[in-house]
Amino acid sequence: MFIDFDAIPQFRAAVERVNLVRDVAFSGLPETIAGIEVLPLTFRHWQWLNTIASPFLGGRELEARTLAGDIAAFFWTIAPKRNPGALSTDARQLAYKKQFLLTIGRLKLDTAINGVREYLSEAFMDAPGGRGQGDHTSYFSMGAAVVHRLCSAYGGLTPFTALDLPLKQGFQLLKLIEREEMAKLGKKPMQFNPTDGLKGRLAAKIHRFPDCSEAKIAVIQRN
Amino acid sequence: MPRGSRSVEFFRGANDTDYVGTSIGTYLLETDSPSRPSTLTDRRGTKNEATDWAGSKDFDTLSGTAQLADDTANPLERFDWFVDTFDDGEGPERWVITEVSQPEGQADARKQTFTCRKDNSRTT
Repeated sequence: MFIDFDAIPQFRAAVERVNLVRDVAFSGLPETIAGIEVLPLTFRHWQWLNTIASPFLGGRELEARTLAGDIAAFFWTIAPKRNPGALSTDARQLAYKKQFLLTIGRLKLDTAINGVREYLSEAFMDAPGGRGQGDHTSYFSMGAAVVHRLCSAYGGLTPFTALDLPLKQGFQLLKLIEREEMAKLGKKPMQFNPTDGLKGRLAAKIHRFPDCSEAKIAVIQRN
Repeated sequence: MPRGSRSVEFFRGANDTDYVGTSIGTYLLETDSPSRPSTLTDRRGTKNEATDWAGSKDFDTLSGTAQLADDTANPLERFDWFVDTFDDGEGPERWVITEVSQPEGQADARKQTFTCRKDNSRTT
């Protein structure tokens, strides 16, 4: 059976959204979470959030007891004027931090949590797939692996500059590197699109209910 | 071949009499056209000159990526099969998995790479 998913309005809208996010990732525009301006998540931010076991990246469970602190730590990591190299006594940095965190403190908890989740979901939408199994023995960080791969492919990047690439750019570049490497072997890589899940669910529905509205719009040919 | 995503139903197991398997789910295939090779035999004369050759069909294969359509679809295994038409001239063909990877996932999608061989003895 052939299905033209582009003919289904909800799928087309999802694809347009993904294309927009991918394009904007290279525009240099700032991002926002719940209306608050933040930096795009970089590999350096990601490493840092892993280091502090942020629950938003699966480091531990979200708990009411530590929630406010976890939200503040997340936002502060990606605050536009945060200077990670500033001394703890730097008065200007301390004043900025106070003012920034006051703004975050005014957000409703569920608004902040949902905003962070949406921000992360977009940042990781082109991340490579995984098997979710194995012995989990780790000999280097995920950030190191990604940076090594990017630096090997792009001569102008150093590990230091690669860490400052937004994930949305870096993951798209990794897909291209993988595609090129596999093409040299005469193969195609297994890659993912954020709309794959929706596509799968629509296909399953069309198989199960051949007369459903999506089937009437999108099935090009049945066997 | 129409443009669109190919969606197939895979089956598992079959008996020798009616060849009915159990449906294991719906899968979206990302594949190129099947590879349809042939084996050539040269015939030569007494001076080793080319006189004739004969060709016979070799085994058709198909490889690509299969996306498990939803959570109800089972991971594909070796010898799972599906029937579909890739070329009008060939009609419906039965393709049997001969090699398959472990599923990999990203967000709510799971995929496997596979290689199939055409079952020349059956089409359904």
